[in-house]
Amino acid sequence: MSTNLLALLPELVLTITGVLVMVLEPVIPAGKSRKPLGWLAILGSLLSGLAAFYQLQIVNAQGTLTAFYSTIQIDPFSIFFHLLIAAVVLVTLLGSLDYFESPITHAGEYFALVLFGAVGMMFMTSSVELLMVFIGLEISSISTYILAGFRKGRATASESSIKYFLLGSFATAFFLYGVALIYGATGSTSIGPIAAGLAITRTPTMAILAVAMVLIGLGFKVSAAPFHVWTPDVYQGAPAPVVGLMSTAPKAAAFAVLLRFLFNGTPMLHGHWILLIEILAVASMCLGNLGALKQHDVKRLLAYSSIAHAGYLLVAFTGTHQNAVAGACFYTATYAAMNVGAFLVLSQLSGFSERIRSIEDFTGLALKRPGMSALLGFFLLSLIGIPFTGGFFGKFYVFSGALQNGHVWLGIVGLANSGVACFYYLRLLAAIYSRPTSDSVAYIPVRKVTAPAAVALAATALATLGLGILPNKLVHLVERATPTTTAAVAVQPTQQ
Amino acid sequence: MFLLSFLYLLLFVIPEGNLLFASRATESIMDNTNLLWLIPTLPFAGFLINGTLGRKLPRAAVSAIALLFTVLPALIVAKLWLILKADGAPLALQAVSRPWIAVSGFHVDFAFTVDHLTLIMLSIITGVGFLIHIYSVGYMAYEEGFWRFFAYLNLFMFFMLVLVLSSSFLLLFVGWEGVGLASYLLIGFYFTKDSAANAGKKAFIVNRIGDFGFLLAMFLLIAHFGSLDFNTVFSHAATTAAPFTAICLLLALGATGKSAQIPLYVWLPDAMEGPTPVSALIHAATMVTAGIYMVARCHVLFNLSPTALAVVACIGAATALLAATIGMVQNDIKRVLAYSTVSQLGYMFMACGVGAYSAGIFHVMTHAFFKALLFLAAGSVIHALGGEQDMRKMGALRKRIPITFWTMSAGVFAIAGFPFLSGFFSKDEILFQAFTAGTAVGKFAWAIGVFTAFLTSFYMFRLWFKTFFGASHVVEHNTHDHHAAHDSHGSHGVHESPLVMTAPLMILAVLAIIGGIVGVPTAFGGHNEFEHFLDPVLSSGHEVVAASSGTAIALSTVATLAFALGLGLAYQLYIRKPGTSREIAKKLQPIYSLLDHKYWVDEVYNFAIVGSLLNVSRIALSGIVDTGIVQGSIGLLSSGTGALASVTRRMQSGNIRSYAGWLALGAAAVIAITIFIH
Amino acid sequence: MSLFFLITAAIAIGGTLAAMTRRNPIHCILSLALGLVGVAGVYLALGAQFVGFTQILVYVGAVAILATFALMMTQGHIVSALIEPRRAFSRSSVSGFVTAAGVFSVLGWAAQSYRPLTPSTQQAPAAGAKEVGVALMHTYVLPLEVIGVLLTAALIGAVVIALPSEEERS
Repeated sequence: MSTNLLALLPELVLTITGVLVMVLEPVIPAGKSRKPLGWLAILGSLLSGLAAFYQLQIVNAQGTLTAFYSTIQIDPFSIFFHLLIAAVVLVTLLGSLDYFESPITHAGEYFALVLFGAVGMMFMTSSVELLMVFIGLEISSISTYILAGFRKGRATASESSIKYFLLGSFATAFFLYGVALIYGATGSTSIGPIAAGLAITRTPTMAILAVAMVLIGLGFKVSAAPFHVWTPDVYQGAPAPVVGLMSTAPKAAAFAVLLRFLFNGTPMLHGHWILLIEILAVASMCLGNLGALKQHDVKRLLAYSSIAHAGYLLVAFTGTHQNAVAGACFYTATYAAMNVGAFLVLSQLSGFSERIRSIEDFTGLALKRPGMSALLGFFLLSLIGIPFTGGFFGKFYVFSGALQNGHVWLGIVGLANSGVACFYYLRLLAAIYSRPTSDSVAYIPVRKVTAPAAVALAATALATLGLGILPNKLVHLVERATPTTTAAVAVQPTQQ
Repeated sequence: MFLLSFLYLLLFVIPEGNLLFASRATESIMDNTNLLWLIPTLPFAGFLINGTLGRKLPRAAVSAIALLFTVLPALIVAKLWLILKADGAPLALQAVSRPWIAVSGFHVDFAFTVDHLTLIMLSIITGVGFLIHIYSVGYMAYEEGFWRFFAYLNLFMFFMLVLVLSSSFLLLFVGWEGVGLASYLLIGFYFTKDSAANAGKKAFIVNRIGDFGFLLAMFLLIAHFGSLDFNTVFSHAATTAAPFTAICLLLALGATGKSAQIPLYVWLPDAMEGPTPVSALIHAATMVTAGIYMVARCHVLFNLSPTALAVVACIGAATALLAATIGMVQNDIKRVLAYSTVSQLGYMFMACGVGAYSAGIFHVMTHAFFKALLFLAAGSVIHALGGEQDMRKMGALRKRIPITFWTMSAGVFAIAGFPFLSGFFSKDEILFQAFTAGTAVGKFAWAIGVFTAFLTSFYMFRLWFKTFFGASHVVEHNTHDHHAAHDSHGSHGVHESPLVMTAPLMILAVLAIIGGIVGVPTAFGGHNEFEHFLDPVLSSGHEVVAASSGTAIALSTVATLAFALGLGLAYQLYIRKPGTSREIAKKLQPIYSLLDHKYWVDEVYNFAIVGSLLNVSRIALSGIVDTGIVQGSIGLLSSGTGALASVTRRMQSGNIRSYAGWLALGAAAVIAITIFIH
Repeated sequence: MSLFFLITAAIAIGGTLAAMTRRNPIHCILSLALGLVGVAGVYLALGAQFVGFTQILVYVGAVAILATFALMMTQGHIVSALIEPRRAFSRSSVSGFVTAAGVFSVLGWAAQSYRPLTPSTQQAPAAGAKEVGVALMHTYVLPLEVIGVLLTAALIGAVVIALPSEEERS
């Protein structure tokens, strides 16, 4: 296999599967179940994960791969995110197979969009060329814009979609402007040459502004304060499995871009962007947690929690280079496991109708659905950060990294915030484990959990637990993941 | 049912026991290592079995499994004692797995160690824990969710054992949080009862504040030592320039959370909403002493910071006094015991604060005996009365539930400091050490300690008299109460508890009486064996002042006088002139009301912390930051064009514009900061 | 700043402003096209002929016209619904203007705070049709191809939005 094809393997698999899904969609007669397409999509995401694993073997043997004139760089860093994205997509697809009630509306398109979105996210993580990153960002954004509005016919859904679209485009413009400015400052849009260019530029004002712009654009994508305003509304309106996906995978990809860009592209400007990161981190943690305290809608509550978690993740950036990358990667993975799990439970409880919405609706859930309640409780405990869950080690890793690097006050703010956070997680947890009231979940018909969804739930729960008990496995992988600049410095087109 | 469970026990234990004792002579280190692993793993196995299959198993099987997986660790601990006796050398067994976390900068092994301190804690936990398990079989016999209760109880045992076995701060913290979690589950066991659910929540949240300190201390340790391993940290402590005062104060904050000290003691009295065996095991004998254990474990660090030690001593003394004063006016029998626990924990904290760590641990042990006994006996009283906890509705019970009465009396006399019972020796040791510490703080702590001893004696005898003596206020045929499960057998009036409940009471009563023997000070002709036993672990730092035995006896006399005074006062107020207490309460209305409302601490906390947080949250939301989704028109829209029209309408609702405005402002702020710092 | 730049910049800003404030959607689109012409003028002023003319061909010639047709042919009745009398800015216009003023003053400050850069000694890269073509087929061949995925996703999205769902049809 040529290097070029090998470097694109997971993306290629996903693209082909997506196209296949769309080609087969009209073949299935109207009114028939679209589940086979879902299974096809699941197979595709599984294969793409395997492809990423195959890449890892190759990289282990031969070292970093570059392809397409140094546009794509396959190293442990990008493979880690490929695996993560493939896993999130796989679990989301498993969880959404039975989410749509019959007659299924645009189910084929749903599966295809999830797959195409994943292609975009993967390109974001493996690309060292900012133009390519931008295209990946657009693919993933457009897919999620549409997916957010998939509960068509419900006013909240269309509002969710249109808000996300308009504000997202606005933020993308910042990113693009940042890329243009960095090109103006260094004469390149490729990570390696940018670093090389900055090393010889003597007045980097333009570059600093460019970094700020890129940070704004990506800050929106990861819903860091003060660019978080869209998050609660969009999460509230979007279908639960989609929220699970879009609160983790595109964020992971955006964090990957940020890590590569800041630590490999603009390490010269570390002194400038570190303060911005700190401000964003503190604002996200505080606004996210404070905002969540008064929420009644569970999805909005989790939306604010995801803002706070973006803040914890940004704290990771204040560690030393290797600590920052490893901490951020680890946290992304644990957050993905527990958050996707939590939203899977939500989606399984009441299905497409999403009748179980507010905290009051959850009152007494434990009596009716002990298993699901225990699972949701477990994910909430992990979000709080109780030991033996991935959430604890994520936070521990991130905060100890920040403190070791001298950011004591950031650690204090973060820990205080994680203390405040347990207020609202416990509110939900306490509601689940209390006496049912007349209008609560006890009187709403609950769906049976189907086999694929059960597999998905088990996978997320095991991942959350595994990351808490044996974090070392992942730590080793992410510590190797610190991206290197060596390959990208080669400015001349590589001979293919 | 119970026989069956013993059958199970015998079936499994005897082969196991043979294995244990047969290999005594020729054991290798390998075996001991495996033994250490087994100690926490066994209760965890019990938790897994009962947690997954318990729902379908009969109650006998559930209790058999729970008991089996609790008695085995106790046997292993006994085996450890034998090893210690055989070796004679200082004990230091270690079981290390492969590295648990190895991050650049620091690494932690998943490792257990047993030294003398751990061995004492292990014995308390497994021994008292096993007794309470047995008791629970009877106490919980008619409860819903029997299996759930025992699963949680075994889970608690697992985490508690991990806590004391761990050889690093991180693993200790895992156990620390784990016991908190198990306690949360058990307090909220009656989760359909709102007060129980709220109490669980409160315990959890208050403990998180303590954890904040603990975590921060750990991060500081990582930053200065690059390790969280006890050995590494303690052996380098003397030669490392680290902010020890900050670290110790943060650790102490963690300890105040778990061990219910000022300012974080508020959760413990509420935690009494849980079933009584839980109160006995978790909120008296084991979990709440974890803070004391942690401070004792870190004595090397604390000895380096006199400031932190003084703070710990003051916190302990203040808590002891404050909780004792509140305990004087409570009417709920379990609440009196709860405040008494807080007060006794204050003594232990005080002991650590004056550097008398082994005296603190000694009190941990005796307290485990008599307080577990008191709680279980109180549970037996409650059981007898069909769920009644209000002492005003008790009285004259000594003839009707004699075993409970006699065993509880042992507990009351032990905690009040009746000479030569267990509580007398341990409390005396603490007061003696405080007095002879040679510091102003020590003298101050001693004075408060003696006064608190008087209060303790008073409120314990108040409880004793009100429950067992005087006129009966029992409401007979009390058939309906919140303790629904007792309905079925509560209807035939007051009755003594079954043997499965009274047997543990009797064993604990014996321990409460003679348990102090191991620590008889030289002044009374003993050798203070307990302290010498702990010397290999806790010796460094504090030099024991060679005080004359005359001082010791004088101090003991003072404490005994305090005991007698408290007993006399209680007798006067509740037996000789039963009406007087109410008159005094009326005369001292402001003070009484202050105590009755527990100094309004809960209200102040609610107002100052919870209220202000919610206010900030409201302010944060009330801005344009969160305008929410436009209400109305939720539901199905008629057609596609309708949807599009609604979309365009929403675009103009001002909502998106204001969001975009916020985005733009945020961006402007970021850019402005960028240029500014440039 | 040359006169040509000032004129084209005025056209670009004026056109987009009109696109925001006009009530009739057709007018909006046509004003947007005018603004895009202004942007094309800026490209030409910078010496990027190819990009400038492509801008005119693609955006003005194709995108704007397509949008006009799409609007007129499919959603004619919405067009009239949107023309209801309404002020250009909502009631919150004051806060909007303040926000805008703040943002633009910061941007202006940012632009001002640039030290006068020494004019780059590098020759500006030529951006003729040939160079663009070579770049697209060489260094940027992958982005070019991946844009295909982007367009596919966008098309599917358009289908999902435009086609009524089963629920709506029934």
